[in-house]
Amino acid sequence: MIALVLAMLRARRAQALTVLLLCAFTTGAAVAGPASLHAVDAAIVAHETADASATERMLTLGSVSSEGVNTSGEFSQFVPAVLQMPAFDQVYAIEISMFGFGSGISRVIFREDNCAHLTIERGRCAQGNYEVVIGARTAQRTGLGPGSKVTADEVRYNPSTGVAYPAGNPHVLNVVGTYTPTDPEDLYWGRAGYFSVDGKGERAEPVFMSRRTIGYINSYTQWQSIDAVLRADAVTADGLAELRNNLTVLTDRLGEAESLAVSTEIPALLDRIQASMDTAHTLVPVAFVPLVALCLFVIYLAVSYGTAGRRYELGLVALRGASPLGRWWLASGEVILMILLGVPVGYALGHAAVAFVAWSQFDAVVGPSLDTVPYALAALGGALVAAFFGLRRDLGTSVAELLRRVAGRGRAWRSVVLEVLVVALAVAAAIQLRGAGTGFAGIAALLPGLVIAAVALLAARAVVPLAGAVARAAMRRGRLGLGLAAVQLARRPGSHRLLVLLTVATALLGFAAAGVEVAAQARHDRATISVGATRVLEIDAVSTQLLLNATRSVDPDGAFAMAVAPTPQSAGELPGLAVDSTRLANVAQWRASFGPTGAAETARLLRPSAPQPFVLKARALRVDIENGNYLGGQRLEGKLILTRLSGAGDVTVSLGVLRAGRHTYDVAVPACSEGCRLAQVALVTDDTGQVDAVLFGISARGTAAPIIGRRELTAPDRWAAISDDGSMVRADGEGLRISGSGWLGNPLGARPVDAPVPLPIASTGEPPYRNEVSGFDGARLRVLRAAKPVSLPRLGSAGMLVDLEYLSRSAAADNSVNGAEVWLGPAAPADIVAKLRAAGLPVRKELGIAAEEASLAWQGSALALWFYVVAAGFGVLLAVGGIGLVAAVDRRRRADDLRYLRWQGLRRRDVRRAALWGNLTVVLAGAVLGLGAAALAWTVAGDQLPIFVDQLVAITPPRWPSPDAVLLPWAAATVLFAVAAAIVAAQLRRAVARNGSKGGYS
Amino acid sequence: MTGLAVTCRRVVHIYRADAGDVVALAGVDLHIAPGEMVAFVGPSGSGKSTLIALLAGLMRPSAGRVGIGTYDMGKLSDAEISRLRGTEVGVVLQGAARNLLPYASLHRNIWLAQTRAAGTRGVKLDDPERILDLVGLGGQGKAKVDQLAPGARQRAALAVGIAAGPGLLLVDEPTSQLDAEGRDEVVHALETVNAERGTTIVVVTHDGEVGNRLGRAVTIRDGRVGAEGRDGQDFAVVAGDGTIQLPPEVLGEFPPGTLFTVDRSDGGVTLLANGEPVLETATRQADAAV
Repeated sequence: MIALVLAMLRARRAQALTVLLLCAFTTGAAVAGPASLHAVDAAIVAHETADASATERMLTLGSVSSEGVNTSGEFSQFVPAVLQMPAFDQVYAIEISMFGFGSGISRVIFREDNCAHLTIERGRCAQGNYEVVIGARTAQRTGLGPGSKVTADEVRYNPSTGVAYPAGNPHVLNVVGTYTPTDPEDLYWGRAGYFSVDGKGERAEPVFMSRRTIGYINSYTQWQSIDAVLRADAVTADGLAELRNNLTVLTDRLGEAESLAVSTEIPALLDRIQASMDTAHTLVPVAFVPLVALCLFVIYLAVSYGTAGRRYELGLVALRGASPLGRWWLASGEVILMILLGVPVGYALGHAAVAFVAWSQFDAVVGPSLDTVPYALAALGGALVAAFFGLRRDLGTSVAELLRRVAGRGRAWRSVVLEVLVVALAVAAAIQLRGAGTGFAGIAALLPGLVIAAVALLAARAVVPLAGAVARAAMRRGRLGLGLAAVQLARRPGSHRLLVLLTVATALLGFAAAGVEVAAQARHDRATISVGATRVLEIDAVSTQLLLNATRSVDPDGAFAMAVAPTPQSAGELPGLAVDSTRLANVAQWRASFGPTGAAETARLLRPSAPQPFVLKARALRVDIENGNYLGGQRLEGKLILTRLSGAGDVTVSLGVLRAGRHTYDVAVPACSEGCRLAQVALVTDDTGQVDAVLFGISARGTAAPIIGRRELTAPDRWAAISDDGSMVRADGEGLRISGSGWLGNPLGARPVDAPVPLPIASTGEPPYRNEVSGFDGARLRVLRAAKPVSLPRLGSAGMLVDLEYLSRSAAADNSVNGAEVWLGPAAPADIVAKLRAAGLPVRKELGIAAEEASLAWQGSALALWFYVVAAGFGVLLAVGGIGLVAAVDRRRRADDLRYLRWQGLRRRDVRRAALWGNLTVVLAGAVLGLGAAALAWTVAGDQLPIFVDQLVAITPPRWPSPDAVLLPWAAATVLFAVAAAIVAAQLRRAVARNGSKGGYS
Repeated sequence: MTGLAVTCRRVVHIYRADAGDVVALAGVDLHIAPGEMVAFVGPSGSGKSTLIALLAGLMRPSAGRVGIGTYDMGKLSDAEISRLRGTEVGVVLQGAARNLLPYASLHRNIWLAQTRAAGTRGVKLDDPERILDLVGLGGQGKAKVDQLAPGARQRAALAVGIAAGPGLLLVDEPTSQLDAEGRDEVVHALETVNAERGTTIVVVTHDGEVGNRLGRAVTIRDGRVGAEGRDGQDFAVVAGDGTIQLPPEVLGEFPPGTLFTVDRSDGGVTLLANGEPVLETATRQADAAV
């Protein structure tokens, strides 16, 4: 029997090869799905881990030993647990504080292997006893350098006052070198902030010494820590759960230790990776399940078509009385052999395709995995079942029926049942997806494929009578070529199935193109919103006043530039941005999805009218104030805190000790010649006692009219106490009375109210706790939730906006802020950076939308969409194969038919037209129907595709792709199909001509 | 295996079609003795191919009984009929090439035809080469059908038909499209098979010469046994229901509805139209033969 089956294979090589390739495709698609997931998982893990911030990849275990509190024992007890974590690189460090390296306190550090991470500018690294290296700038500032000896003393703190003082235990240390940090952002340095940049833009430089030296010093207070950095290569998709588990066990155990501080954000990183992978796992089946189904359909098509061509042969075998088993084997043997051969080929093909995409798109190397073997076996099973269904009809047919040249008609009810089933499943999937809102889970994952299949089946059914009518009309008009082509479509079941195949393949391509395009648009949109504006410039530490002034000076009309600063964020508070809301509408990327309140309205709500600040523009001031309650002999000092409008910072002017009774005090304020805003009038005592003073006016010296006089001082709600400890500020006759209990370190005073109280904010989610937020000076500010957006630029679905100027005025002084930015709108001129720098803003760098977009492109959903393209490519290749298959099986019959007609006088031109349009009509109909099916599938399911892993930024992706993005690949596929149809038409014409010549009638 | 007898009793076969039913066989009565060679002759559409298809078990009769050897074909299941075709009934279809797998050698084709019999207990099969010798194709076992001359193809088809050593060989139009030489080769092969194996052979043919060579030619007309020729002499045949078909040339003179008087005398039967004797067709001997 085997020999006979092999003889069959030799005789029908092309058909055998077709089945082999189809099975290879099926297996390839079946393994490509899970293999894609492996590739996507690996890419997600690699990217997220590499892209994670230092804090996200680090677990820090630390403990402070101070006088009377020795935590070393507990620290040592738990250190092994951290050191044994296999996926981490651990760095041990001890930090103490010392006097002696310039003014103030210096951080003195031993950090394991620190010499490898310092670039020694002069001298060498500290390795010997009592050796230290100091920062290059410190050396410059202090005049110390290699060879210098420093007498440094430990720092101790007064437990009651917290004031630091030398411990009286000096050590002579040898400076052996100066350094700069090789990479201050390196994860090696952990989260200790050794090289933090201060408000003046200067980088801190701790002193480094060896382990032994820091041991000799044996400081009273020391901070021991282990920074365990999660190794990027140690995180794998498969090992994620184990890693999380290990981490939980470790942190739970460390949590039991009272003196240890454990901090890590690794679980958040793992959550993000998991969410990304989950999204990909949802999306990939949406692409590959229809493809596998399509492959199985084509196998069914190929086998049933091939078997139909072998009907007589099967009849002959049955005629010889072959046993049922023998009959079945002779009928299916060649198909089964090809399927068995196709599985390993497809397995390799699927992995190769995925590896190529992973390599070309994710820069990842993905090898074959045994995990996909069950999927290959499932594909094998599916292919065998499809082949069985293809064979079933002819295997169960009687001998006499098989020996007839023309097969009897099949049972139409079967195809009707199939169509009803597919439509019913599509409806159920749509209800689940859209009604139940389950997302692409369960049957809903098949919705696009089901819709496409339903459209293809119903359209193919509808095309039959249509083609029949066209055929009759064309015949009546004598257009035989068109008529015969239409007959081919109307009568031949192969044409219907080819139409279904082409429709499905085209639709899958269209849906994939739409998905990829819409996701790309959405990523761009979200990247823009995440960045906040068309362009964003990062500014080094700067005062809020300078930030505002400089930005406004460059863009006085508020058309394109907006100053932005992060709000101080206490524990539990939403992240926030203080924005110059006068230009919010022109600059920020605002979307309708943010909520019903637009940017302009939000800006208006954030910036209600408020009293103007008191601006003192004078070189000298005269302050009229009465010290009315001079009791107990405490000294009461008056101070003015003035904020320079130029942004050059605050000026604190002392009036000196206030004498009893009403007096005027003259003070020079040259810094205010260009104008200063009065921030505070403060009264400081040197002892505990009641304070009672009345401010009568502030005027420029030499002028009669006060700048701040009775009217201003007695206006209601114009002044507030600078602290909320019970002191009072109220209008009192001619002036402003300031009273309360004063003690050392607790100044009383008044500040002008020149910002709304409460301060309006626009915040997402719940209102802030107690309707308070932190001001720039750390004080709690009462706020009013004036707008309730769903989402905000940059901040996404969790954050708040506040007016920068008002928040700045609400602070006790002009504060330097880190992380300030200038957001630029589309109208920003090209030289904006230079202008801002010229205005005094230290522009550090520009935040890129492209970089954000690229980062989003690494999310699981985006990566998964690449495999839609792979699946669509498979589908197109299958369709081309289907055209060839149907043509090959039909060729002999069609050639016979056309030859007979030719003998009866059919013109050569009509033969040519019939040959060409017989398949071309199917191709064009399939292309048009496929586009329609894709549009319908997109209408039903497109907006449910999870494009992003998280919903941190509420954006509504475009509902429809740009036409070009879909029509171009569609047109390319249609041309490919048309070329295939033209080739098979040419083969058919040659077959007609060849046989016709033999008959002598051609 | 020795030849199998064939018996048809009032066999009726009707084809069902959308346009109406077509009566292909309208009551065939026939007996073929074991080892006999019979040709079914008759015009196209007369029902001879339908009859041979019923004998082969490819179709079931609408009514009547078909017996092959001891089997009542109407009572056998499809599986039993299939087994019968693989062991005791050989079938050669019209068109030699249609009996052979084109991509397989003659040996392989014969082997395929023997597979069912090979698995049946008590059946002794001839070597394929011996079978080819029997039909005059010795030494050509490795040839494929398209490498043979038309006459040889037909004999190769016969070789497949007798591969399992059947007791009954049914052959449809074995000599069509053959020249006289080819026809003679095929008939000779049939005679050899019959002579050497005692196989009952039933041949459907348009060729009267083939009927003459086989010795007995049964003419099928309008779905019934119309006449029978034996050794060069033609006979009318009394059917199971007592009817006799008139020869076509006689029927032209006496259209349907003509009244006859049947005069039985002197051991013969005379038909008198309107009292005049017109036909004296049968002798006692001939009756006895029927």
